[in-house]
Amino acid sequence: MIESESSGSRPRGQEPETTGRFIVVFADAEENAPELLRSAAGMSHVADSRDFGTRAASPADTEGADATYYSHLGVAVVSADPQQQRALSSSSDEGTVISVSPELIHHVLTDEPGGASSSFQDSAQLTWGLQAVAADTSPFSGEGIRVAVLDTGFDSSHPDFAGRQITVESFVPGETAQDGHGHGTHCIGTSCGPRSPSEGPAYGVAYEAEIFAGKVLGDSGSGSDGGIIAGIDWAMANGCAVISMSLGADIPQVHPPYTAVGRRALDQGHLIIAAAGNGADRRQGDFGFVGAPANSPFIMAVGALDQHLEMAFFSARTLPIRGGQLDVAGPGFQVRSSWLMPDRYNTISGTSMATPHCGSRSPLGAGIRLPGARAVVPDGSGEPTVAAGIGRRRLRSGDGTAGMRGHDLHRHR
Amino acid sequence: MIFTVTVDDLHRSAIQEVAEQLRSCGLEVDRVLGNVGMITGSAPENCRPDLEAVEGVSSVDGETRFLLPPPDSDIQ
Repeated sequence: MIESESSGSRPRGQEPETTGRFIVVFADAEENAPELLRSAAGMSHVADSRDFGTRAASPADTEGADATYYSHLGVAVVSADPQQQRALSSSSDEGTVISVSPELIHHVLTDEPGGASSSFQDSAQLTWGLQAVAADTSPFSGEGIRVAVLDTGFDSSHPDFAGRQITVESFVPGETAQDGHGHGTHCIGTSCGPRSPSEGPAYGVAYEAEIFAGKVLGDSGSGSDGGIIAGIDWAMANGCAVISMSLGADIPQVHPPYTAVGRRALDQGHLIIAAAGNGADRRQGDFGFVGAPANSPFIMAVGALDQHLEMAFFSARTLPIRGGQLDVAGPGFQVRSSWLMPDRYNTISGTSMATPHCGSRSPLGAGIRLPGARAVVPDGSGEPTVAAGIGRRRLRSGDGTAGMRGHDLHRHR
Repeated sequence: MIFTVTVDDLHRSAIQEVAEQLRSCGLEVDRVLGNVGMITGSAPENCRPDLEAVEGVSSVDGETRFLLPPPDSDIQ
């Protein structure tokens, strides 16, 4: 049974507003839910949407009913006393009921353009990105989770990672896994960096995760499919729950190999996330498009947010093809993280920086597996959400994660 | 030319045999990747139809290259 406790419609830290009624979700196989409501919970008056035909259920139809059952959805709204609620909840043990949740009161989300309340900034303790993804209050440290970052490798001499379990491998001919660019070390820092760095605020989301650093881009910053796909194969063989790829090419088509790769990875329990791309200039009205491989149907595309949780000006918008949507967005503007020694730290922007914020914050990154879910993403409430079910939403300041604009989100899956 | 060969779901368990067939059609195999079911390698471009015709091959794709901005770039 899936417990549903938080709404996501209220700022984090406040109790959700509820009506006192409950939403009961029945198992797909449950064919006579109204009868179950009568027999298990003793409800005498159950309105059934099948009686309404094609018209909408009106208040007159459901007034006085203990429960209203929506047959197309397999969902009922019920007025249940605590005893009836317990009876319904116990039906979950028999597999007939999936969940019993309080009915929540929802409100129109108001826009707060550039509102000061939405603004994050680095503190002495935490980067603004860690604050925005609520990494400080998350119960998940990454402990026991393996995270792969496929990028320009890793600077193994960086003191902030001393004592960490790190496995490195190079898929670039003629180069070791040592990072000669800085980009890979920066992404690994955001994904898995420490909570007590040698200097400045903490910058790593999954600070106890086991790191797999695959070098698929050379010191010059370039790479190709052969090394990237080999890196994914390696990450899968090593049981990495999240495979983070802050790389992409501005091509407006799906590159076929990544469709098969993404699907096979998900089927085996690995989430591949990739940077949506920096090809936009929203200041000039150019919204760009999600490039490859992020535009693949089974790879999650990550956009970049600024400190106001607005889309960063360079962050690419949905490409209107199957899989081309922007799936999620995370902190990707002026992000401080680890860099090559002796510089040690660098503050840079990009969808590359947003990607590791999101991967390690996803439920898979937290070690949560959902039965039957092909992909899971952060949804702002800390509760798992199926990627295909995000739809249009904008997360709000203070609820702990990223925000999105409706026009950046389209559902193609 | 560098190719990425996607092995179809039915032949993933026989990926080594598919790789052998691809070799006999002129592919110089670089990697056989069992977890993802892909084979990478290089061959003259005119070999492509032969590679695509191998049983168990779902697609043969040319390579995409990726390039990061230089390290001193503000946006990466």
